[in-house]
Formats: sequence, C-alpha cells, structure tokens
Amino acid sequence: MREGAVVLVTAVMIAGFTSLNGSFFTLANSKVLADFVAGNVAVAAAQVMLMVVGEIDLSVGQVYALSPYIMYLVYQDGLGFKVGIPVAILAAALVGLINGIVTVRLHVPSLIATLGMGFFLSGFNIYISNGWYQIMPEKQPYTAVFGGGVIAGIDVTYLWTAAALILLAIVLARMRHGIWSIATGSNLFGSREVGVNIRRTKIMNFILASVIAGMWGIFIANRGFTFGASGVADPAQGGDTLTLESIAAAVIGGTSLLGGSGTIIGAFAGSLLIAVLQDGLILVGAGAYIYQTLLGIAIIFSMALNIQARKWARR
Amino acid sequence: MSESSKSDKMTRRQALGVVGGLVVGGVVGGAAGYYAGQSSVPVAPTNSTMATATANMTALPPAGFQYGQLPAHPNWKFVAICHVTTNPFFVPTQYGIADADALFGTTTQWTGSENSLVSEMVDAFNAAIAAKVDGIFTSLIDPTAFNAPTDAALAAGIPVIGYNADAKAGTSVHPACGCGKVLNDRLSYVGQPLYDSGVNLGNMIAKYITDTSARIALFIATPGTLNIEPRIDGASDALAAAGYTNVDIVGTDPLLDKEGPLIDAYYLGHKDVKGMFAVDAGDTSWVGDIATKEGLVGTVVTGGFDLLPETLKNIQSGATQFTIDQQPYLQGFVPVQQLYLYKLSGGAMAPCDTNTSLKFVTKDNVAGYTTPSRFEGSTPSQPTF
Amino acid sequence: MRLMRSVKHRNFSFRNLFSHPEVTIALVTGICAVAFAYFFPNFATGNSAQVIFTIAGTDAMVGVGETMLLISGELDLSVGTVFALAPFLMNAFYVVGVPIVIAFLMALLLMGVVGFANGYITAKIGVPALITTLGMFFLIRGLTLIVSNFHLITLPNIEPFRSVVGSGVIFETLPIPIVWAVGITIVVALMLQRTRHGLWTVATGSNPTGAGEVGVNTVRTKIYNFMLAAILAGLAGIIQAMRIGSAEPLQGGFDLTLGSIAAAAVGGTSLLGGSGTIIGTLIGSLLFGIFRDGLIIGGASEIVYEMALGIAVILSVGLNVLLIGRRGRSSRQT
Repeated sequence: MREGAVVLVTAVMIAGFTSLNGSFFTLANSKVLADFVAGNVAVAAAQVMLMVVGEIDLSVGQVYALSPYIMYLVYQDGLGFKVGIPVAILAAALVGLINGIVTVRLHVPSLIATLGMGFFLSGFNIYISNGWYQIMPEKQPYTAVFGGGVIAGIDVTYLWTAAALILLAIVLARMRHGIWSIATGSNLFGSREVGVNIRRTKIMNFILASVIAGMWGIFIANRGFTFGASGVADPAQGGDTLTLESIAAAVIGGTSLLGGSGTIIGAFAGSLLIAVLQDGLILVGAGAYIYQTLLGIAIIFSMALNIQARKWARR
Repeated sequence: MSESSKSDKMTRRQALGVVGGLVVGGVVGGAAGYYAGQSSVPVAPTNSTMATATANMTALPPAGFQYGQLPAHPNWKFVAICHVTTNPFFVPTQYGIADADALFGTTTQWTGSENSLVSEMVDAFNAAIAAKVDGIFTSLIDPTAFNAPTDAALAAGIPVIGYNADAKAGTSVHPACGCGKVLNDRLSYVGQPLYDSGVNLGNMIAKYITDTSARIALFIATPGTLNIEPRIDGASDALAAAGYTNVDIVGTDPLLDKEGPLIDAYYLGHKDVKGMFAVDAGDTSWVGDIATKEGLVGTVVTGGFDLLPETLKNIQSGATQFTIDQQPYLQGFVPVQQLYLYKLSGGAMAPCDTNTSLKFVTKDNVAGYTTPSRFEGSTPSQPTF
Repeated sequence: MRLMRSVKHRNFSFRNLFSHPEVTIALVTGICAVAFAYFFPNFATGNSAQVIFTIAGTDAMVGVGETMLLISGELDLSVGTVFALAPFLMNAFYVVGVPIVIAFLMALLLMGVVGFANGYITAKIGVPALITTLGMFFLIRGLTLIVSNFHLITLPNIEPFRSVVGSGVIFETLPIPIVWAVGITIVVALMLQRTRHGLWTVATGSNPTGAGEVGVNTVRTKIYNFMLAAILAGLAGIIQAMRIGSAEPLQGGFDLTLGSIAAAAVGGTSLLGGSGTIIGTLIGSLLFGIFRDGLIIGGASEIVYEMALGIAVILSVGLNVLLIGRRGRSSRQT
C-alpha cells in the first residue's frame, strides 16, 4: 500500500509522543486531532482530485474565506440563509469554473491561473468585508446543519467530512468521472483517443475543488456554535496557510503533481500525519521551535521511504 | 500550405488583437486609476518655509471672515505604510485615517506589506518618495531598514512620522545600541510600542498570578513575525525580570480554527498551568474558550490582546480576565492630523510624539465595548447622538 | 528553446518575431511602462526607477535559478526559505570572527549543499521535486527560525561590502540588485546557450528518457541546476538583507517562491520543461517591479494592487501562451 510509509511514520510518532506524555493517547486529545483533521482533509482531498488530472489549485485558501462571507452578506441583505448558502456555493463553483476555463481553454498553466485567482480573491475578500470579520447570526437550522450543530456528540463537520471522503473515494475508484480523471492524468493522448472528455473532466475537478473549499469554509465559520461560542465570518480565514497545508497533506499521502495517481486515503493519511505532528509537539511542550523543521523532514522522509520500499519490493 | 497561412493570419490577427486589447485595457485601467486617485491636480510640494507661508497671511482678517473654517489648500497626498495591511487590527486605523482625510481635506493612500516583509515596506516607502507625496507615516518594525529612506524623504522635503511600532533599541535584539536610543529620524512617533505593550501584559499577569513558580503559558500565533514577536518578548522579559521561572512560550498556528485545538493540546499536556495568555487576537479569543471548555474558569487566569467579539464575550462571562485595547483608531487619525498641520503651517507646527497608550478591558469596563463602533473597527457607521 | 541568433537565418516576419517569448514580454513590459509614465509623471523619475530595479533585481536572481530548473523539467519550492536562511548563516560565521567576504562565500556554499540535497533526493532517489522541495521549504524555514531564535538580526554595516552586496546605487538609477541580476542573467543565459550543461538541461527537460539514451547524465544535470537555484536564492537573500540592514527569519517565503515561478512563466518559460528563456525571466521580473511601483505611485490601495496583480499574472502568461502557440504537452491536444 502506497500510503504504508506515511501510516508507519504516523504510528511511530503517536508512540513516541505517548511515551513522552501519556495525555497524548486520550479521548480528549483524539477529539483535538479530529478537529485538526476535519478542518483541512476535505480540501486536501479536493487537491488530490486536481493533482490526479495533473493540475493544482492555489486559490482554495481564499475561496475558503469567500463563501462564508458571501453567505453572510446575502443573509444581511434580508434574503436569509436559505438563499445565502446556495449563493455562496455557487460563487465558489464560479471561481472553480473560471479556474478551469482559464487553464483548459486559455492554456494558462493551473499553477499560474490559480495563483492569479488567489491574489485576486484575497483583495476581493478584503474589499467586500472592509477587512473586518462578522459574527455569524445563529439562524437555525442552517448554521447547525452547515457546521454548527452536534449530533449524538459528534460535530456535524466530522459527518460531512466523512461523507465527502467516502464519496470522493468511490468516485475516484469506481465512477466514470474518477476513472476519466485518472486516465486524463496518466495518459492524456491515449484517453482522448478512447473518448474521454479531457476538458470537461478537468473543469469539473476545478469546480469540485472550489466548491469543497467553499463549503468547508462555511462549516469552519460556523464551528464556534458547537461549543457555545459564535460562528465568525472572517475574510482572512484559511488563506495561504490552508492552501499550503492542503498541498502538503496531498503530497505526503502519495499524490504526485505529474498526475495519474492519488488516493483519498492518502489525503487523510497526510492530514493525520500533520495533525499528529503539530498536536504532539505542543502537547509534549516542544511546539514553536521545531514543528516546521520536523514537518519538512517528515514530508521528505516518508516519501523517500515509500520509494525505497517500492524499489526493494521490485528486486 | 493554405492551412498554415490561415493559421499565420490568425496568429497575427490574434496578436494584433490581443496587443490592441492590452493597450486599450492599459489605457482604460490607467485612466480609471488616474481619475479615481486624484480629485484635483496635485501641486508639487515646495520646500515650504515659514517665511513663504506667513507671507501669505495678513495681520487682520478680511471683512466677513469666518473663523473656524479650513483654509483652502492643495489636496495634500499622504502615504500610510503598514506591515500587515489586511490585518483587522488596522481597520479602525484606516477609519481614523479616512475621518482625518475628510476633516482636513487630504488624501491618504494605504499600502505596505501584508506579511510584515520589511523589503516590501521599504519599496513602498521609496515609491512614495519617487511619487513626491506630501507626507509619509510608517510603522517602524525594523530598527535600521527605514533609516535611509526616512533621511531621503526628509531631504526631499517630505515629513515622516512613525506609528504603531518604533525603531527604538529594546524593540528587537540590537546589541550595538543603548536602550531607549531612537535610531530613526522620524519627526514624531504615534502609538504604543509593541515591546512596551508586551511588558504591560507581563506586568498585568504578575498582578493576577503572584506565585512566581506557577506555570504560565504565553501563546503566539506566528513566532518570528515582526508585528507580534516583540509583544511576547516584552511579556517574557517582564516576567523574567519579576522572577517568574516557569513560563512557556508556545507557538500555535496562523489558522484561527487551529489555534483553539492547539491551545487545548497544550493544556492536556500541561494540566498544572495556572495562566494562559496570548499576544495575538485569535489566540486571545481561544484561551477563554478553552478555559470554558475544560472547566478552568475561576482556577486559570486568561488574558491577551485585542477585541475580538469572542474575547469580549469571555470577559463578560468571566472566562477571560482582561484584554488590551491599543486604540488603533488614533494611530491613523493623529498622524494625518500632524502631517496636515505641518504642511499648513509650513513646518512651524512640528509633529509631536503621542502615546496612544493602551487600555485594559476588564469586566468592569467591558460594557462600553459591546456595541459595534467605528472606533473599534466593528462597523463603518459613524456614531449618532 | 529558440536561440535568438537563429532569427538571422529566417525571413523576418512578425510571426517569427513574436515566436520569441522575450519579444512578447518585452513589448508588454514596454507598454505598461509607457502607460504608467503617461498617467503618472512621477513614474518616470530616477527614484521610481530605483524602486522598480530593486524589486526586479531580487525576483530575477531567484527567478533565473528557478528557470534553469524548470527547463530541465523540475521545480524548487524551497527557494523562498533558502532566501531567508543565507543571511543568518553569513552573520553566524561573521560573529565568530570569519571575515565578511569569507562568511558570505561560506553561506553560499552551504546553500549549494541544500541544493545538492534537493537534487540528490529528487533525481537520484526519485522523490518528486514537488515533495522534496516542499519538505525542504519547511525544513529550512524551521532551521532559520531556530538559528535566528525568531528574531531579526541587524547585519554588520561593513563597507565596501555592504555597497557592493546590497545598498549601492550606480549612476543614480541602478541599484546594485539589478546590476547583479543582469550580470547573472547574462552568465546563465550564455551557459544555457553555449555550454554542454545548458544543452543537457534542455535535453533533460524535453525528453528525459531519450536524453539518457544518447548519453546525457540527467541526474547530474538536475543536481547542478538545483544547486544553482539554491545558491542564487541565497545570494538574493543576502543582497536584500544587506540592502535593508537586517536579516528577518520570515523574509521571502512562499510568496517569493511563487513569484519567481510566475516571473519565469510570464517570461516565456514552460512549466512543463524543455524550453525556457533566462532573459524572459528578467523581463518578467521587471514587469512585476513596474507594476508594483506604478500602482503605488498611482495611489492604488493594497486591495486594488492584489486584485490587479492577480489579473495581470493570468493575462500576461495567457498572452505569452497565445502568441507563441507554446501550449505545453498536455494542452496541445485540447
């Protein structure tokens, strides 16, 4: 299993942290880990969908802030969340569509196209919000369904995340869109010849990535409601940090930018590794100083291990 | 062959079309920018001396003169350079600037860097000098980088004011300087230095937690960034000077929704902590939330900086004991006012240092902060009476 | 990659002219400069030119290294943090008594080691460059934070070192960064066109398997290019730090990395490897410098700058792609 090395490294880290401080291996801490992972694994999975077709999206961090704020603005205009949420998701889809068209039709490499979109949106987000965050009004049931609620002790966001991961995994493995995505990424000319609609496949994945970023942005914006605080529509939410982390999680999980291979499980494994590392370091009291260094080593090491293992297996 | 010439023609036509489109776009964009940015043709700033300005005044006001009116003057252009241009902390600063501009008839451009990159700020500073603006104010987050540009501006007759962060030794590691010596030639400084505000935090913590061996946690979202690192330096230095031996400095994460779980993780690993404090707005709002979540209200002291609504809520509920209001509105209003008076009087009204100080917001005075206010940045609306 | 001198052997026509990406981007840059100068007279001053050249110089140095890597079919995301680490290492050597010039060279040497690590892990072990250099990005950033203890350091103000490597200005308009950048551009462009390494770089990028078969040492070529990128990034970082007077642990960063890739793409280098232009990267960096300087002089706020930059990046690369018909392997069929 390609993700084997990642899982192994994660397991070693869990064991190491627990031996340094027993509180790591507790239910309370696993909830902390779940919070971490839920925030960005879906976006990481979305990146996987794009990297499988050989593209990338550097604007997800900005869409993550755009959608909740648009939802808030529509609500403020008196149209309520009933209209606000669909509009917010449509806005995200529009961003994805533009990213897709610019990449596929205008032939601008997705790295550049989404980079430009990211710059544009970061200015736009500040423009529509005056740079200020807003308290999310607690308009049931919408804020509850979209991130603020808790069902049987489990945050709604976890349920959404689990559902999305399962759905994406099924799409990638079994459904036509997923198979076409892999085909597009691994053998462009060949897939064209067997009738794969390259353009539509790629554009759909761009839209998918942006929609996921937007929806999870909404969930996180409403997350405050789950523990008695308020939700916040923050124009600076997510940002470059989220983009970078989603890519890191995807690549740690074994997805390659060259396209043609990638798994949703890999995104989850990558997300989990990052979460365990960051959480563990703070818990044992090492935090600020070496997190970045260790993250870098973990990224390189797990992949190198992966590749070496494959080479040995082949011998 | 005909196919290739057809594609030739398309290429050339496309080429001309796109180039033409670019030119049109450039012209339209440039014109839009030009007209948007100027309300009147700016007068090139002369080296106004007191003599020139006073020569235009007469001993007695003319008949029908109305006192209190603003004298007619060119639309002076100022540039405000910030190290975190999109940070909500400076939203009230921008409102202060806008209000002062409206009041005094000036225009101020807001630029700088988004991520505390000094090189971007210096480039913006030098561009402002090249643009021959009438005044510049900048946060001085680096002890040396702004010195040459400031001198160049002053030599070109452009007044320079420092705000928010000051280039004073002690605000960063600077072995060659004596403490308190100012390194930059800015005409005045408006604000509350980052390092000093951190010291204030440390002193406040010492008031709440008197046991010098108690475990105290100081959280910082992004260690190393020039806008908050000095705060935590000040706090830890103050606590060290007061004899506190068990202070943990903990880096969290720039992502707001990760800060909470990280603070929680710290608590899970250090259950004997007696105080959790933060130097950035996000972590400050979270220390109170985590205290509530883990049932620590009343046993663990929390506090920090800035006025996120969650923080204010926690102060009301008692989960957080205090936060610091650094009055950023004044940090925008006062520099514009000072530059205006400087230009108006031909340099006679020299800008003066202004300590915008800080206020501790506690349960006793939090009521005044709960309504949205332009002065705190939470609403653009002006107050009504 | 088209060699400029081959134009002499073909009939001159606009199509041939525009098939050189350098021409396209130079034209766009020229138009932008003229437009800005027309609307904002203060744009066409010596001071303004200094700002443009300062910004362009730094970006171009990093961009040139990135371009060589892109041509050979790889990518380096770690240049942004190598940029920040180099001045700290130089300072660390200096404070223990090493003469500043030696400290400077030692820091560059260590950056070469980083580049070697990037190259070895990517080309020899086989970890994709994206992953290696992403990991290296974090690793180097972490090291920088540790070495600097999260604080900026004021660098020694030693003349003439500081003027030569940072703050000097020639002829009142040319800041030292651009002089370095132009010099490096010329040297690397010649290296690309005239040396075996340059030839092998192009071959490795356009047809790695084929190149290997005719005797090109693709591994060594890539490793050299990784080292070059890291050394140039370190050099640019030291120059900027000396110019400003301080080394900051978080300078450069992901924005610098993306900016250098964007400058390369805008200049006409294909992100898929096999073709590119060093001069184009320099001109692309100039375009970004003009843009930044022009918008500030024009009174634009930060918000306007961000949105305009986003559109400009997409348009300029799109323009290049359109005019050259250089659409990359995958999209040629779509």
